[in-house]
Amino acid sequence: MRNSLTNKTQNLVALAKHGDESALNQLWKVYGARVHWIMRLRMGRELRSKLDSMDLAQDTLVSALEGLGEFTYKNEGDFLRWLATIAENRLRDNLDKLHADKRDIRKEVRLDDYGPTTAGGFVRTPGPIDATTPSVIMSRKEELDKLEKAIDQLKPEYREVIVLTKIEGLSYKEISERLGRSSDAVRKLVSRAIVALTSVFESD
Amino acid sequence: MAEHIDENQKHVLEEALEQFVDAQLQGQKPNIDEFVKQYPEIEDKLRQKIRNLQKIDTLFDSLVHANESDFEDEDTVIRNELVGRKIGSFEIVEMIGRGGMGVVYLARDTKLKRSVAIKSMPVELQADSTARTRFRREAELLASLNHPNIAAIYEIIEQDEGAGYLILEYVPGETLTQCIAREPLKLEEALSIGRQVAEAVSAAHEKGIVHRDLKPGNIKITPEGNVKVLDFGLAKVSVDEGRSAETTVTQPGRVIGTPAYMSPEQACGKPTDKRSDIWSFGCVLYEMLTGHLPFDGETATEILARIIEREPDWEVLPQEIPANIRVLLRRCLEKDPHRRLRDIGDAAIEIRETLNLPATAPPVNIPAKLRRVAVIICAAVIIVLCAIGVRFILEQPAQPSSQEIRLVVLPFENLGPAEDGYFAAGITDAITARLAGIRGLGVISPQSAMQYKGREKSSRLIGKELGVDYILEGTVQRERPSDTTSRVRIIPQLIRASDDRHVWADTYDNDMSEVFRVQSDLAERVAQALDVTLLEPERRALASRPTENIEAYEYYLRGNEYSYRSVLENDKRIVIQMYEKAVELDPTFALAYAQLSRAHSGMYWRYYDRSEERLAMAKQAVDKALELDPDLPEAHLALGHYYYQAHLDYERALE
Repeated sequence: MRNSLTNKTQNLVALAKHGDESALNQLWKVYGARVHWIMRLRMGRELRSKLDSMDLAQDTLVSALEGLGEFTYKNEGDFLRWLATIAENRLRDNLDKLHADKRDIRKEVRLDDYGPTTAGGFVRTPGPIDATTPSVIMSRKEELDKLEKAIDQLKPEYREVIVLTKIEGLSYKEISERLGRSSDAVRKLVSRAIVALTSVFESD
Repeated sequence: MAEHIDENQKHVLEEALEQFVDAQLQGQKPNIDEFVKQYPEIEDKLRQKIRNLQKIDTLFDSLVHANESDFEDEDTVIRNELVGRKIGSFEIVEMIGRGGMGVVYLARDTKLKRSVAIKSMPVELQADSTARTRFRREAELLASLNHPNIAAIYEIIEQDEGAGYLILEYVPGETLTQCIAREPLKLEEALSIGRQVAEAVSAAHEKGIVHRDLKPGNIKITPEGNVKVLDFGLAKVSVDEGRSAETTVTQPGRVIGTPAYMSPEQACGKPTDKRSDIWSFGCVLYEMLTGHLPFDGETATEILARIIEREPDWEVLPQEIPANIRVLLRRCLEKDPHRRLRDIGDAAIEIRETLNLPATAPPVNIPAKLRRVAVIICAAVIIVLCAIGVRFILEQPAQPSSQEIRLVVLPFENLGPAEDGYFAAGITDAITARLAGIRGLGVISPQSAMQYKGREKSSRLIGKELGVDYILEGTVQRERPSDTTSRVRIIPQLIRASDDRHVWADTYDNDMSEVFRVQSDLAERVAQALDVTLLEPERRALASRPTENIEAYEYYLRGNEYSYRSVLENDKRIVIQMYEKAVELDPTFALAYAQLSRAHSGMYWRYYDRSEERLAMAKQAVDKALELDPDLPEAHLALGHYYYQAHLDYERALE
């Protein structure tokens, strides 16, 4: 099941890379809302209040997809994380330019974690993306709202490791390398963060 | 007290959950029932906690993984069973396109270690044997197209169960759609791409192949900047098999293509021919130049209505677009196919002249090959030879006769001061023209030779690229020891392309007054070296002198230089001044009159001057040229230009 799904995403990515607009639209339908949520969860309340706009997420995503040319598909989770990272970087870079002309911003996608993905490929910017088809993710909106609030209440250290494990999909060993701390300590930190999140989530 | 117990219990609960999570993190999969039993007092509460934990995990999981039901079950996405499979020696890597013709895959040719594109025959055609025959025939036709701007077909694979696959050249790079979307194309880029597309389509039309779905999505720009047109002839198969334009557009949910590039006759469902391609070409050129579609709309129906009823917005064409390109666009986008540009080859020639290939070296995106094209451009020279006029530009047969010795005259290098460039160019032209007048010699046009100016390529490579047996090159130097004397030093070399051997070389060092004798002697010696016997009329023609007045000749050469340089109005006016000066100095200079007439016609044709006076001047000059020399090829060519450019009168132009 997951395998055929990977195939579908992979096909759509391949098609979008070669300029197929309907494939691009479909990718947005499947991943747009997810990216939007992932961005929200990662950014925290303060940042979010400044850029909470689906329009902006969409605009950002479209520009992110322009970098598809160099993206090598490994698995579906990779693709989504790749999108989310681009989107987030872009938003961070442009927080203070939010009111500037969006068209100018569009050209400045930076992809710190995933290398020079913007070179070469290009996907034609489609018109307004039709995101009306309710996806699985839409039906979970209430629960996701709750999760978002719960994450917001965590102390920053916890929030960070939650994002790293649950969204970026890193193992505690990878996190310990990234943070430069012992893996035992990080494992403990992650467990505590998860326990704290569970407590806040249910008390809400 | 109760609160204290709760606090304490909560603490125990969290500790227990932490244990659970910790075990999970370490890769264990603790059994929940067994795990909670270790904490009998809080068993239920712990179970609830773990359930919440799982719920959170599910939520995160739904975020980072798409769900099967999110995807529309679009057939082409589902029908991807070929990815990862092998067809013959080709390993299918991924799907790269889908369209009326079926699905296109990127594949790896395991034998030749290269990437190829594989097109699968649409399933609905597989059962039909006549459709399969047609599919095969189209593939054969495609295979007969060998053109640098057309993606090649390598192979056709047919399997027992009716499945058919075309193995095609894989063209990396962006589609023109992507290029246009990224940023507006520069005028030169747009024209260069347009020229290459026109040449590709022209080559196909010559073989009787109509594209029928020419659009930016079918045009690829390789990373090297070369243009490749994809899907030649293939559209025909699918259209003929009942997927008419109408159904393609109106079927809901099926994204097969846009009707924006369809010709009015296509839009009406009428039969189409190569003129439909010319329309689509006009649309593509318009879009490249303006960044907008000539006919756009919210829905397919709206677009179709505009194609049939409306004129494109001509106002949005940028100022810098030369008048002749504007005219070309209008002629391509003529709604009545009978009034439309007749031959896409004309578009290629018009754009080439505008890009002014001779003077700009090396131009953007121009691949240095195009043997066939070289033959077309050859027109100028062949006309000199045949004195027939425009018909030759339009219908020059693609291959010269096989007995001909093929020769290219590379631009003679100017060793004098830069301002003598016009003179070296003039000498090159004159020698080329003289050689072209010799039967048994096939001389490649100066235009295609121009790309080798200051050449870095080996003779062998040039020979191969232009398909010539011999190369004539050389140097020219003007010397002016005093105000009244002027000498010219020409050192020609004739080289055999196959082995780079120098067949003949000489040094001419003469007074300027002898320049025509030098030219004819040089041409005669080349003919001798190539073992071509001159007929008496040819010898006489070689010995002819266009003018006795060297100063008039100088003005004539300068006029030629300006005329090649650009199509700008100012330059064109200078051209006219130069020729006028030439005929003023020598009122019997027929060649200069002929060129003067062409320059006047050009002013009219390019919309620089649409006055009756301009037309009268063009006619007057050509009449004078014909009066002076009724057999002068250039004069007949000028007359053809006059009738065509001034009156759009094909029939008389071809006389």
